[in-house]
Amino acid sequence: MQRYLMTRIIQSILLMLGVIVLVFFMIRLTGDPARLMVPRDATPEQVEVFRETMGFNRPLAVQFLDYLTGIFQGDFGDSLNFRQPTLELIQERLPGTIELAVAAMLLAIVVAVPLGILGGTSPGSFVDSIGRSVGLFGQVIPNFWLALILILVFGVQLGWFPTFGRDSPTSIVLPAIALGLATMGQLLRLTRSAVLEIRNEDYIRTARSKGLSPRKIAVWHVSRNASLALISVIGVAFTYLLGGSVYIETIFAWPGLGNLLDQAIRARDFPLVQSIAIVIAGFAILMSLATDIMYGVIDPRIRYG
Amino acid sequence: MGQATPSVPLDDFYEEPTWRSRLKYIGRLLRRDKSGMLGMTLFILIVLAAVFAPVVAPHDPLDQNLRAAKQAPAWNEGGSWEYPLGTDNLGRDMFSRIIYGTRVSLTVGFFGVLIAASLGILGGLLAGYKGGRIDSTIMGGVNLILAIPYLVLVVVLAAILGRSLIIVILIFGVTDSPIFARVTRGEVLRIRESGYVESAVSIGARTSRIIFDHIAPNLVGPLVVLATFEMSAMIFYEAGLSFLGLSVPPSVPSWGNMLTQGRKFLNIYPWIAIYPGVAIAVTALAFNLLGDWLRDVLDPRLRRSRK
Repeated sequence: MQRYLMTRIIQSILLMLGVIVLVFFMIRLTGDPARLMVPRDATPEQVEVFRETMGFNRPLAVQFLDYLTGIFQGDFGDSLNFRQPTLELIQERLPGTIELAVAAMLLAIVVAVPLGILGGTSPGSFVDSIGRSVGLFGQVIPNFWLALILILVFGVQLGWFPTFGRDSPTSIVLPAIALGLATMGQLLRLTRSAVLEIRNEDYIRTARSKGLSPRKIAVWHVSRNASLALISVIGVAFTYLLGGSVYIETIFAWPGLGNLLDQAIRARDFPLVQSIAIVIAGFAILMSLATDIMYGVIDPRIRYG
Repeated sequence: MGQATPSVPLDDFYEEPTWRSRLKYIGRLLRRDKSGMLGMTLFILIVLAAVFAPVVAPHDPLDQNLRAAKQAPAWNEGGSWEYPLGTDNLGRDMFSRIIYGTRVSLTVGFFGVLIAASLGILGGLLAGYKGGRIDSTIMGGVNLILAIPYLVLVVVLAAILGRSLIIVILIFGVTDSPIFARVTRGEVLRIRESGYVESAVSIGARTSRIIFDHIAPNLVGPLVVLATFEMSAMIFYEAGLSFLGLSVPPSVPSWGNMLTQGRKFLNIYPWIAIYPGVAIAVTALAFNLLGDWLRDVLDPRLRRSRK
């Protein structure tokens, strides 16, 4: 286990370094980062001054080392638009994004797992057809469109929930539904097929032939083995929710990272864009590390594999 | 059980399948699966709409008729069949714009997947078959790109590189190729360990023969299925990028651009935002049903378990 842990941690650190390199060079893809960040109507002199202050005229290697040492000291650079360290801005917005992602994930799990288990244990039943429709909806309905429809129906016409901001406790309801539907569908399909598959396993037949009640089989054998498949997907899905909230946060004016990213892009505030990309990727890497560790703890086949 | 041994060699009964017999076979498979049939029908309709957009669309998608602006769909109060799905804030025909929007979505989906699949399959084949240092280099790059949440990666790249159809296609093509590489590599590794490749090697088959006769045919199924789903995903992401103002220029009638327009008038003229979304959902539905059907048909293991 220790060896498996060490390898995964080292891999994650290397991956994080790789992401920093990638993001650093992405900003320079057009060849001239100064031009990219100044307003479109800037004069050549203004661009030159900007290049000077940002240090873009120095050799690339020097710029990169500078950027990297900055990051290790917790200095991700300053936002051009807010004139404030980007990390401070991100720290302000991170709780909003995490809150929304957790709410969406809980909603998805609460609906998907029971429906998936019921559907998987009795395929073709009424509950199963409801579950399958939810699964399909999650796959085909774009979340930004769903967000607009939810605002129209539950915000404007029925007036049940606020349609923007994060001021009242019910503010989170509509964004969480819009963000969670795709994950709900994904988890539902996964749970259903995992249960279907497990039903045919030898150990289920053994359990049945030794006279265990169907309820006991469902709880002890099916659920436990289906949860293995779920854990691996929930980590990935959570990452998707963190990144996928760009549209949803923008539409609902939810004060989170996605909304901040949208603002930063509109203002050509690329130092902020860079920092947000690195922080979100960092989260994704941590999440996948945590998933793998958890998986290794639960399933001994993984850690010795 | 009482079966007579055929007195004639079976080869005499085997006919090389013709295109007609193949189509007949596909038709038979489709009739057996209603959702596959629905997916295929929708898919054909969508492709036809894109190809024959000038014929199908009753109006020019860019034509502004300010006197008929913000007109409701035909079945609502104040609507007329002149503009079946109503008009937008500039009096452009929603129905014609949606028909033309099919072109943008399908172009991005098709060429995006074409590039992604070409790059990915090449990388995956190299990594899976050569192994060693080539494998770890390619898969390192693949894992690196996959480490960044896809939407964030695409949004940032589009913001840096600017708005145009070709750039959007290139971004999707490059960023989506790791998925194809990963699947190809996985399949190559699985197939390489299989009994029939081992026996081909043991009777002295050449590497090229093993790759083209034994490995390639087994790759087609999973990759076609993956391509179908990725096309649907790209249509989603293109609309999303348009929605954030990062895809094709606002003058182009794309579904995402129409949604952005509609969002501003959501409370008063909701149809401007509703119908482009329906178009996206129906297209995604078509690709997903088609993908599910293809998976069932192309994966013989699944086919057996369905019977």
